[in-house]
Amino acid sequence: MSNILIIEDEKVLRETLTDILEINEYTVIQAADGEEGVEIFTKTVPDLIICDINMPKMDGYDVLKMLETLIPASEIPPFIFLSAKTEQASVRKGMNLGAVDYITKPYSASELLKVIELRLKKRKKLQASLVQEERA
Amino acid sequence: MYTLISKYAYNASDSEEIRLAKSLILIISICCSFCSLVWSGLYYSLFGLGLTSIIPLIFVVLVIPAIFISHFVSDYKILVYTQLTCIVCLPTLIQWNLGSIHDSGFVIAWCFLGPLGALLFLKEKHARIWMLIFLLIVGITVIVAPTFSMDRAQVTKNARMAFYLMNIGAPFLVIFIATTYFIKGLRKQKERFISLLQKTNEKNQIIEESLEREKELGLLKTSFVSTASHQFRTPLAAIRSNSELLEMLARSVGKEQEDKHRKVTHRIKEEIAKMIELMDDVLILGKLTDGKVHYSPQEVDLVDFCKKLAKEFDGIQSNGRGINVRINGKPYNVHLDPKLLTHSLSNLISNAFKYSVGKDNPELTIHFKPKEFVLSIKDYGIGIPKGELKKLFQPFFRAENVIDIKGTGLGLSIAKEYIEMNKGTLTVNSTEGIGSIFEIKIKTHEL
Repeated sequence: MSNILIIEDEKVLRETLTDILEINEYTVIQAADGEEGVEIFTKTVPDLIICDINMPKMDGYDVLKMLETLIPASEIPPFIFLSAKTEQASVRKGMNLGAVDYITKPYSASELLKVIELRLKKRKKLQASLVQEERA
Repeated sequence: MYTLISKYAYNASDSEEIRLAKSLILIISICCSFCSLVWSGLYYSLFGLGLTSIIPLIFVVLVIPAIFISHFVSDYKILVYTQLTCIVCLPTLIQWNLGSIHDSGFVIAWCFLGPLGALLFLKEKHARIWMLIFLLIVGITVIVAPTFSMDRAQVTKNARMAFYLMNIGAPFLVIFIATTYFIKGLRKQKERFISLLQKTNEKNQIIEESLEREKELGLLKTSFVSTASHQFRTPLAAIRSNSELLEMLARSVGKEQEDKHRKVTHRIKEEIAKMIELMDDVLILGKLTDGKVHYSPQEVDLVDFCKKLAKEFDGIQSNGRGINVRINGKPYNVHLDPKLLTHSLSNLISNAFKYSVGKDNPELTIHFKPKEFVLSIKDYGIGIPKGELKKLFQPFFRAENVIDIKGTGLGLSIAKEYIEMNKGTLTVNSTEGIGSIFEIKIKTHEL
């Protein structure tokens, strides 16, 4: 079971997404804002992060920047932005910061699940190859 | 005197320079006429009755009517041409008649006035023509004059001196008066320029201010677009994801799933309600800006009206809160549009609850005064930051300290518009962290 961290200030969206992920057999950790998300991250590193952008205290971009100061960029789990900001510039900014995907609201749950599955699979493959390299 | 002269040949469409030129030519003409009269007298005493003493009189006879004609047809050019022609030709004629090389020098002084005047009053092209005429006259005078001689006349030395002085003095007197007047006019013009400049500056400031407002409006529009899209997207995301969740849940229906189902449908309903509220507000704002909201007043028992409204609000508070209604003064019936007031007051009361969760109950006080009544809605909530009070009633504006509290930023701007349609005012007084007081003031009409 993979661990997913959701950072989203809208309670309804956060809980709905949690329910969706739990039904699809993921364990979910919820954070109500950027600061809380970073705090949780320092305790347990999840397998994947889904993060909103417009949030009080610390926005999504800053969360990703903050994570890079905590651990090396290569070890940061797949980071997906889930935002109502649909402008091309916002998307590009998110991707340039190192996110693996940028999904706009209102999102499609099935599409999101596909992306999550794909990213987790890739990450597992990468980790396996790293382990093999180390053995070699 | 100045204002009288400046009215000469008045024409409302004249520029400042033309007005100055008009008054200047008038002064020169009057001065020259006066000099000519004196001249005529002097020549008469020197040489007796003859062409020499009559020529200056011809000047007066030509110029004085020209002054009046120019004034009544409002065309100062007539006077300019008459004046310039006379001023060049007549002294020359006198010199010819007197005939002396010594005296012909004075012709030069007189003739200078021609091109000088032409430069002042006419276009450069004309000035050149006048200069040519001047040279021609001087040339002819220099050649022809010596054939005559003043010595032919029996003139005493003193009289001859007076003649010289007059000939030198008169042009210089005219030039002096004209220049003084010209400078004075310039000064007046400068003052007018300065006041005009100040007016222009004031106007510029107004333009700059309105430009600033326009820019703010543009920013507001941009923020509207982003706010609207963001605000619409969030409930939509909730609705969409929850309906998908519902499908997922339906696939694995079980008894224990029923609660979850209910939770999900509840979320969907809530978000739809929020969307509807937002849409309503946007629509009202659209109607307001298009002037499609109508004011239909009727007699209202304000105490009953407020109590009913307060009761409605008490009923929907989940945490046992309520609004206290107080009455000040002797109640009377008022004349207003109850629909518009209900909307505004509901918005203010719901705000009072929304922004003071966990604090004391808000208060609604009705003050009945002789000439107006005041509805004040007081809460003990988070208040409004001082710097943001000014923008509070702008559409889509939301204060910094309410980011975590839901709202469209439209409620207050609509409330204010509605109260203004009721011919009242909506003002706010607030201290951050202590609370806010919103006051609706409406003047009472004779019932």
